[in-house]
Amino acid sequence: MVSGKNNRVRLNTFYGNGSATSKDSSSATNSNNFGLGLFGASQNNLLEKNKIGGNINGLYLGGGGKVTGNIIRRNVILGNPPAEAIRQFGVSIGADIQDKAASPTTPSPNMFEDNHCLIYAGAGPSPCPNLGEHEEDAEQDAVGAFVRNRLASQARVFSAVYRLNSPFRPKAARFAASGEGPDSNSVTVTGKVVEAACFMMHAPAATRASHRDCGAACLARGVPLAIATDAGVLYFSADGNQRLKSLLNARVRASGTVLEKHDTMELKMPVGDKNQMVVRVEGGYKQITIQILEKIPPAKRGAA
Amino acid sequence: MTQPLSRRITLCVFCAFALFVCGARAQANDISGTINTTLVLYNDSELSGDVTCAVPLTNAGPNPCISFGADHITLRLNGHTITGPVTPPTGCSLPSDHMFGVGIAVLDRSDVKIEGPGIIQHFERWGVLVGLTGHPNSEVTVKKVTAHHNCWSGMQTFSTTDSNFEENVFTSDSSGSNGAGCGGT
Repeated sequence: MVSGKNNRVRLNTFYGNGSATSKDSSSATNSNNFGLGLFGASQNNLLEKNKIGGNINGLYLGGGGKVTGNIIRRNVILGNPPAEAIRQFGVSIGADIQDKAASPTTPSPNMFEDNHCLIYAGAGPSPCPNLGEHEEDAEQDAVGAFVRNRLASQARVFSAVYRLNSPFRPKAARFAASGEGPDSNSVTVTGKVVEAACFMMHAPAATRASHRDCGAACLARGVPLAIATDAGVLYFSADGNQRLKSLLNARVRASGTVLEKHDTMELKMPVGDKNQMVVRVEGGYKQITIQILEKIPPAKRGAA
Repeated sequence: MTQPLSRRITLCVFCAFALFVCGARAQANDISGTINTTLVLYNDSELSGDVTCAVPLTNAGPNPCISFGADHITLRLNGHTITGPVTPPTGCSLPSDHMFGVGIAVLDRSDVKIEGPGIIQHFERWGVLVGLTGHPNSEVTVKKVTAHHNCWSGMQTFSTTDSNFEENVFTSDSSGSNGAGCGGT
């Protein structure tokens, strides 16, 4: 894929592709062939639940600094390169994930999550080896199918309006001040990075593991993310999704200045291939200009 | 018994027009056999049998076996196979070649679909080409297609957005890319 944006590459099989003798230059140690590759300005694509095995490289992310914002999750990327290629050309000829997009200065321009893989070649934090169980597959598939079927039989465009002072707004979407206080400009908030539209519709579902696929798909299509505090207060980042996109579903601590916005905001959420749901936020919202952002590791969550 | 000359001419013109229309519809909707010149689709179409491609490389750029000429249409492979002229790595395209063969091309299109099951194999460069630099696409779906043993990538996409590529199989492609960065997709 060259300069593709907002595409979904899901549930495909990539087996036995590529030649070990194909290289970018005679001095290159690795082959430039692969099972699945992203090059040029390929951005905000979702690569999910693919099976990638027996290729010279499994997943290849090209260099140049423009392969960014892609979500790579829940793929099985194993057996790349095959043993015979390693025997003849050496272990550096390929890898499960060949990551030229990462560099020491931009270590994680793309998000890796829950991929089964063993060999990573690149400058970023290695997402491999990872052989964890995907015990939630069946649950997620069932929930996804249920939602798709339900929504497909309804209107093409869904619209919901939430007003700050409405008695009907969902509990989780409250914008009332919690411990942070609306008058204080400098705050430190702790919460989970969520896909905002779904969170306001149904907070428990948005924070559940079964929503991960949907949330990632929404992120790939530009739905805003926000930090949801334990009190249900949402903080939208002033720079859009730029700093939060690699932290979807992660628990974070953010320090910065908060601004109360009073304009109406529309959150558009894709539903299936053609439809979309529009959630309109009226009555204002909180926008945080993040100065310090840190991911809270699971081990520290109890103290957070 | 004998018809006036003007009526016979009218009847012949009508019959010729009807044959032309029926022929074009049959070509677009019902595809099988050998294709010698690029088949351009303007309507929903499907394979009714296996296809052998023998499109000569006469134009600069891609010389597809089948290409999409309209938006909002679907090509269904119906379990059949589209086979190109080469057996990789023999006969594969070089990066310096200005003319090259591909199986199916989608260029400058929106909302089109290629639906399997079906196999696309043995092409000089790509099995499926979705977009080129300067020829972007959007909302393309390629689903349940098997791209096998093509010289370069099984499917190559350029400048394509908001598209779905799902449940496809890419296997044994890119054995003859001659140095180009290629693979399954």
